[in-house]
Amino acid sequence: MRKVAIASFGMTKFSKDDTPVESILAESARNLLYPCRNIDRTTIDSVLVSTNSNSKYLSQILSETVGIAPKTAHTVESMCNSGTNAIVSAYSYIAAGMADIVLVSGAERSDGPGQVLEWDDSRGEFRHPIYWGSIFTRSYKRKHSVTDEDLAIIPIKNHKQAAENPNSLSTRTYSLKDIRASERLTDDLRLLDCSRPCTGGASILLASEQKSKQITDAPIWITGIGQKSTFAGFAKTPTFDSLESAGIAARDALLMSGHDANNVDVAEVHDAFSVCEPMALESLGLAEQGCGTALALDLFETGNFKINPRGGLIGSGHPLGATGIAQTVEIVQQLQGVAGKRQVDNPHVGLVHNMAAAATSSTVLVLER
Amino acid sequence: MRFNSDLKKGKFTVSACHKCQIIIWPPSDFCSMCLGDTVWEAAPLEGVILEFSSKDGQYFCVAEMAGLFRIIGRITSGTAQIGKKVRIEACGIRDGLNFFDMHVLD
Repeated sequence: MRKVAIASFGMTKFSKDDTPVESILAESARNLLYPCRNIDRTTIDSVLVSTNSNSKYLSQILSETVGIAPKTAHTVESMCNSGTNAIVSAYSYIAAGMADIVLVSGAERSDGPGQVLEWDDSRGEFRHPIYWGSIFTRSYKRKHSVTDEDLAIIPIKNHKQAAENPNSLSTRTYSLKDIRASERLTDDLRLLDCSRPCTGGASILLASEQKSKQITDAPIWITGIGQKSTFAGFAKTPTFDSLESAGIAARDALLMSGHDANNVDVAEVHDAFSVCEPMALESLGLAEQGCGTALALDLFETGNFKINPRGGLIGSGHPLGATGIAQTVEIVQQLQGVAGKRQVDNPHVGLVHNMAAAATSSTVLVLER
Repeated sequence: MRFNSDLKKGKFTVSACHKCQIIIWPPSDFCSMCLGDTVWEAAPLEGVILEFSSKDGQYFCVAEMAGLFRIIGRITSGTAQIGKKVRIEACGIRDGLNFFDMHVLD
């Protein structure tokens, strides 16, 4: 297989704006292409769009809008996991020699579909994600003797880190008192435990080794990919206190990259709800079982942005189709040393974890400079 | 699909594969294992609580029904506790959504 690099990226600010998905896609792609004058748009072979939007023909619309006439153009949808799935598709085209340069753009509106899996009859009337989030939280707290106060460190940390992210939805920091005072949605979730759907876009340009050298002096290499879909239905999840698909995807991605979890210097993990961050850290091998919240607390107290430096989904916002790409953009910035006040000290290996539908599927990417 | 038409009438029906001896859930016209046709059967109505939480004082739980499949339902009476038996007392479509109301048995 050919090596694949991330050669450029572009973001929009995450917001609650009422913007057409076509415009969000175009803005993030423009923000990628416009500053990078050494990208010859006639050499972009493929344009992949990641979204849950019901709007049609978006990859062709995006291509026309930003002046690209690609060979291959299509949409990738996999609920919250769409963005990283689109990146894996782009990787595959390049690694297989079917393309040299692929633009991947993700976008969502704050009112977009994608939160609810209509097919899943096992959820009955409890279809909104807060219900599986509550079940996960209750189960995790019981198994590991963790309290709501322990879990509150996740939104405290991630909003603090998001405050250093100019594209994040969140614009303020929160104390434990704020978390405890926020609206109680269920017995196990408060409003500030939840990521918020929002409007936002993210674009990334993948290129072969040869082409990447023509675009950037600081390519970031995708050296590991792992993916796993265990089920589609939430109720089949074997345990509610760990993320099985994430563990399998991480194992495969790290094996492919030749690293183990101890080598990971910086990571973006899918904190759809507070409890998801420690569950992810433990399933990915970044923390011992039951120690995810303790790790988060230690990182917060020491000012270490190693986990979710851009603020995660809770701090940054969660525009579903853009999230996986935005996570990847953050790790690229970290590895390139251009993450500003969010910068982790001299990272070499980064990891992205994205998932969908109560972790019934996960994608893990390993990135290196 | 018969599951939906039966549920509208307040009957909980699931699809079964007699060859593989499994319940296909969520329901399907064919078996996910052998891909052969399924048959529609009355669902087992008793199960065991695996996990629960509550919203606005209303408890909901994931219950494993007769050890065959899992479903999320509303606990309408009794005290939620992991391992306790529940029975589906009512099901149907409420406000456009499938519902399963459960009673804690012990």
